[in-house]
Amino acid sequence: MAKVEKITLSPEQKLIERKRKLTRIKKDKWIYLLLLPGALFFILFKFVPMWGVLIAFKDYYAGINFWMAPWVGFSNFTDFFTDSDFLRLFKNTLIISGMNLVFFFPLPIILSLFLNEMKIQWYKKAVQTLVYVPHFVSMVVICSITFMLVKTPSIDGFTGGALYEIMKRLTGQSINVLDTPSNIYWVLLIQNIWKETGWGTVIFLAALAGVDMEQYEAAIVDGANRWQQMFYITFPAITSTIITMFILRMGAVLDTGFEQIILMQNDLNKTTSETFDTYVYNVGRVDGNYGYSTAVGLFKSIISIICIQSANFLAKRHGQAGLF
Amino acid sequence: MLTYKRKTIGEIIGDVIIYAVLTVLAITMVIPFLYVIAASFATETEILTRPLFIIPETVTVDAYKRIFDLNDYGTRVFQSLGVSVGVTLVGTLASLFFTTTMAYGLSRRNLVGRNIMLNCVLFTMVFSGGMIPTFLVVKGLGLYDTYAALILPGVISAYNMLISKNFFQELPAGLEEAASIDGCTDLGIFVKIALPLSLPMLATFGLFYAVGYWNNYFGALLYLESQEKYPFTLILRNIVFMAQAAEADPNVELPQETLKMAIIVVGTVPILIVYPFLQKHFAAGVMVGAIKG
Amino acid sequence: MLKKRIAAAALGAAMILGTLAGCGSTTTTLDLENPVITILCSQEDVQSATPDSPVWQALEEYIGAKLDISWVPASSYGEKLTATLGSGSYPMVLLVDTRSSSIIQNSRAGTFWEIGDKISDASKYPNLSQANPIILNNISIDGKVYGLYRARTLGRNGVSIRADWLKNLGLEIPTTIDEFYNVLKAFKENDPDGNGQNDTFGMIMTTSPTSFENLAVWFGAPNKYGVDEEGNMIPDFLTDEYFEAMQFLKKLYDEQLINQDMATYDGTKWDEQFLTGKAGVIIDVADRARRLATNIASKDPNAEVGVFGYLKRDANSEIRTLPTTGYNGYFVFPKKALPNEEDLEFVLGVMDKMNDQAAMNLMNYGIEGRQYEIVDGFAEVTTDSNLTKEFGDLNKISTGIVELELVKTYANETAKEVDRVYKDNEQYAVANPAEAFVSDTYSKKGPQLDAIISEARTRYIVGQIGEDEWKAELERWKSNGGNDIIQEISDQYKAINK
Repeated sequence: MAKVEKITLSPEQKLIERKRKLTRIKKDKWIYLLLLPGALFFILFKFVPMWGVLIAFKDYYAGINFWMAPWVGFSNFTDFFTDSDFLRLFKNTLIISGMNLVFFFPLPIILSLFLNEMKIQWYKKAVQTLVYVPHFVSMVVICSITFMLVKTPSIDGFTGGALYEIMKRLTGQSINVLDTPSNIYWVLLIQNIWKETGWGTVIFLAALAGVDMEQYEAAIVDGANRWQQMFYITFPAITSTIITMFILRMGAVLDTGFEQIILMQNDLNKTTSETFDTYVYNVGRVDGNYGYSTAVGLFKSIISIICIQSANFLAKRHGQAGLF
Repeated sequence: MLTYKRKTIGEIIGDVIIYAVLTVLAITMVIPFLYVIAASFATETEILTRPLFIIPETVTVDAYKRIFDLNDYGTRVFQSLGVSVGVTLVGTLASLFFTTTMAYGLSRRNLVGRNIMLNCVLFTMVFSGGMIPTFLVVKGLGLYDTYAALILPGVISAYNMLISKNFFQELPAGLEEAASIDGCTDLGIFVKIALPLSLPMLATFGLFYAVGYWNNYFGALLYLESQEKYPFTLILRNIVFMAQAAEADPNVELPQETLKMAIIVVGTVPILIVYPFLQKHFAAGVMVGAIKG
Repeated sequence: MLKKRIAAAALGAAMILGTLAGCGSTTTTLDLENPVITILCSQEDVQSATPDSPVWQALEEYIGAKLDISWVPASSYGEKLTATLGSGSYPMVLLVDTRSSSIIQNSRAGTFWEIGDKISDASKYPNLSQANPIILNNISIDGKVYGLYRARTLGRNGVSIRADWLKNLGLEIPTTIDEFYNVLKAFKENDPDGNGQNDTFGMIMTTSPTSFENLAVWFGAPNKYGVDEEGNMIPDFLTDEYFEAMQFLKKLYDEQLINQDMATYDGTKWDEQFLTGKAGVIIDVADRARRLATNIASKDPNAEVGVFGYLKRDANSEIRTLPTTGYNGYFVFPKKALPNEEDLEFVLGVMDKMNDQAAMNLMNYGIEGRQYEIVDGFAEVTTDSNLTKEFGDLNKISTGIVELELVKTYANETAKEVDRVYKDNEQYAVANPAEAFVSDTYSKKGPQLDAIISEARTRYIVGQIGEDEWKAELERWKSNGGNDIIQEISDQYKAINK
């Protein structure tokens, strides 16, 4: 019975459904027009080149005809997973990226909230402008300044870098920041914080521009103190931006970049600082082993998409808007 | 205007702490850049022998003289700065157009096909065909060695587009409904209501894109062939990273450190001054004021 | 919506086919009546010469062909090379900066002309036929030569030393390891600058491995690879001499004759302590001495920078020096851009003419009377950048297979000395027998494996590990792929030296 009913009813339902969709599409025709330029961009420059991921399954080098290059199935992947360094790379990548997520990610938010509390406008603007300057200073310069600051004395009796001397005076012992393997994580993190925190506030300040001043006035009338205002008005106003940023950040969970790490690497911290990105840089960009480095990239992509989707799912489950 | 309650002791202390912390922060943040500026005015020996300094012992403008001397670096520097400014301006406008139109379209929750499109965008954020296939597309479209190749292949950043989509989603829905009752088409709503209400967002992404275009050397490296089309970043990198070339080749003369620093300053200051101009759009309440006005 | 999607899909499919099939369609080929040679080359000067420069035109006239050169900033040449190879539209002359796997695969697949037999014909190519066989071997792949190398001095390594400190202490330039040790000790303990303070030390070491690699060869270790009794290749770090060099450095480290932060000392700051008069020795390339001499003059007018090429293990042992590879990139000739053999021969002929002294003078110094004068047999080149830019970067397309006879006027005594060291070193160069060999394992795991050794070596020198752990790390290197590398390279060596 039920089956028969479905067969007889379903086409009608489908028809109605399709008609409904068609009217909606017609109604939104201008919206589709707006979407067109963007869609064209994504098709031309993002989807057309997408055949490039097939390279991961080939033994391919730039210059060799793509179709002539032999298919190697998953061997690029198995080579990578069985590499004796794989677990170490994975661990380092997760530590560096995880520390950024835990310690760096909240800082621009906190800084924006503080900036929002500054009521002297010209002062606030000056501070804003200054904190975003480091974003424009090249990593090469930041790293070379780091060396100058934490340098240990070359020979007993010489003076070290400014930061080294300060730490020595405070703790009474000489701390060599650069020669202990696990320190590299903190060095990379602090450089990142130093360079990007101010820049990171830009997006949150834009979100804060949308807060209705009347809400603060009402809260003051209700006797809310400043912390309560910050907590109940300002913070909720940027929650959705924070969540969006967080979800997008999850997509980059295996990205560490290579320039900064390679600049800070030395023989004593290589075991702790080698990540997927530096590995791909060495094997792919320097050596031109395109199939292999594409495979590593594809592996990273798959992890990323899983992370983004899970973060998005969790956000939606907790009643937030999510990314899409 | 509202009347503030008299501040409590706690709030005053809070104020002091916030101002003190942020001031110290601002100073530490800006020291590296001050060093670069100082070094660009210092003598070569001073840079090589003195660690971190903010005020040079002997001030010299020799490096800048060379950079701006038309018989020396000048011709290339001015030419490439012109390219950079042009590409940044045109590129930013193009990017804002492409990004906002698409973001606004996708911000409509009940749009048919929206989820598929969003997923496609997300997919491109994570998966990429890589350098060679993209290069082939650029070449195939006849964009090789044109300025358009510096703009089009990256005209939308999926990241920026998704965030601005969320911004649009948060616009009060009532406004759009009111406008459509008034007989506005969707196009009209976008141009007359959504865009003006999103000025802080436009300023933010305008800044993001401008900085992106200004710093982009990789596109220029891959897609350009004629030297006279090179943007400034390519010239900058060529000088700053010359040390590597010199390592491989005794015939290469190392550029002076002061010159490197001066080139960095010349390449950074133009984009640095964009922010203060945009800053007024970030003041709290701007958007709400616009809605009511 | 649906239509759009179909249209898009069709467009996309067309694009894919078009781009894949159409590879090389934009490559221009040679017209022998009116020849224009396209070249992709790295750019190192800020102002590269342009086709309207008189020097450029004089060069074109001399070689009998027009030049169409794409200059690519040297710092990112590798990426541009990959994209050029991937896009399939080649120039006729292509600079290859490293012998990467990608270049090796392309050479084997026949992307480039094999020119080894051609250039040995002295009647056709009087200059190219003089190419140095060692360097040709270094750039060869499976025993075949695919390119013309850009010659650079083999004997580039050397030691910069404060000659005035030596004089103050009544010492000579050291010639043996023992003498070297005594000099370093005196630099630390005997107040070489005579300021009455104990504020100097011997030698500055950085994260760069060059200093150690030179020392190891002086101690008797092979240059990267040696051959054992059974005809197998062994890497330098498995030899006793290499370990002795490590022990020597450890002694210097323990006695504070070298900087204690050598493991983390950034290579870009190498000159700093030398210029400030804190240390007196740097083992690196000899031309560093030239730069040090220029920069130290304004800081300390009494300072003198000396340079020497090598140390002997002891007074009676043979002289050994660590050579460079002898080239900085090489030019290959893609078949797609030069489909016929006569095209190739024409281009080779042009490259040969570029090795004539007259052409090389043009590319290196410009036009006589305009950019340079000959004074006492040396080229006195103008410093007016308005004129020098007319030949900017032109010497980057010069192979310099024949030595340039006209020498630039020396800026100072040290510069002259550096040239002498180059020549001297070359006679004692220890060749790397495995330079031309290709190990597939190494191309995949090389960076990781190299890291095991350099990490262990540094940790041994600074005293974090002892001899047993060093040996254990060597075993780890072997089991992680090192044995495969040895096998692969030994096989190739045996195949050639049957």
